[in-house]
Amino acid sequence: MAYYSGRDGELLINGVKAGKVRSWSVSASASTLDTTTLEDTDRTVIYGVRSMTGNCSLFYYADNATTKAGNDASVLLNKIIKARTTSTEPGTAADPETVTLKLRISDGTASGKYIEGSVLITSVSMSMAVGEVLSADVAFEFNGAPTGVNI
Amino acid sequence: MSYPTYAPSSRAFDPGNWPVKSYSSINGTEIRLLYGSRRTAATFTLSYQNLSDVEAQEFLTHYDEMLGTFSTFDLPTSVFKGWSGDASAFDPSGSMSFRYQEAPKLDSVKPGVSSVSVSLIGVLS
Repeated sequence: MAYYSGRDGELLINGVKAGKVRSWSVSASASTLDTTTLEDTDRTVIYGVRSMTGNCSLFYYADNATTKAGNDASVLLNKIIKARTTSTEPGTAADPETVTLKLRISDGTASGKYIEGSVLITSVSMSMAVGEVLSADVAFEFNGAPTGVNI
Repeated sequence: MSYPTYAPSSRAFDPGNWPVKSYSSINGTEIRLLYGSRRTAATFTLSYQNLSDVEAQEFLTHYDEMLGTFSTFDLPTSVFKGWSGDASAFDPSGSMSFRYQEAPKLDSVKPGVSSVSVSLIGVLS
């Protein structure tokens, strides 16, 4: 038996471990379809469609101080924040991109516990404040069922 | 094949009317002639939510076997489920059969699950 804590958590962006992850959370839900008929006294339901959403928070951190490269918050921010295609057309920019996220719990095995899937970034937010390290909060929604689950 | 025996999710009923012909004169008086002694043209609007596709298909099959809006049929007691009054209130003369007023409407909800709505009209036999 073992408990897991934040130090066992990892986030992989497109298969590469992300740096300086503060937290991640994931939520799975299923809608219900009403099958109640006349004369029933209690509502009956069947499963509808499922959905999965999640959030993660990453420090805005650059692995390489010179190139600013790294698999970090910047990667996720750039999936949805796009500059306009041409300077004279304010209404046109590149489409947002999907990304593969793997929410992993390191349990001592090679693969660990994980949920992996293609996600759409639905919102990002950053706030800069005196006395705080810049971080980005990212919300995402899975596109379809996860591609891999081992929980 | 008889009408599917599933309990509806909702039922709307319009009792129809007796066969009455009204004539209005220019001075505003009205004359009404009663041409029959039985109520007719009652309508049922029935919805069946979230059936399996196989169950929903029974309504399409029955519609085909009734030749669309042509043939009449008797309603099973399942149509009246949830009604604690006397079922004869729907058809006091006991001589009303029903036919499709229009084709059943089928909504596909998700793979394997569909909802059906049916509109029936009563005709005297």
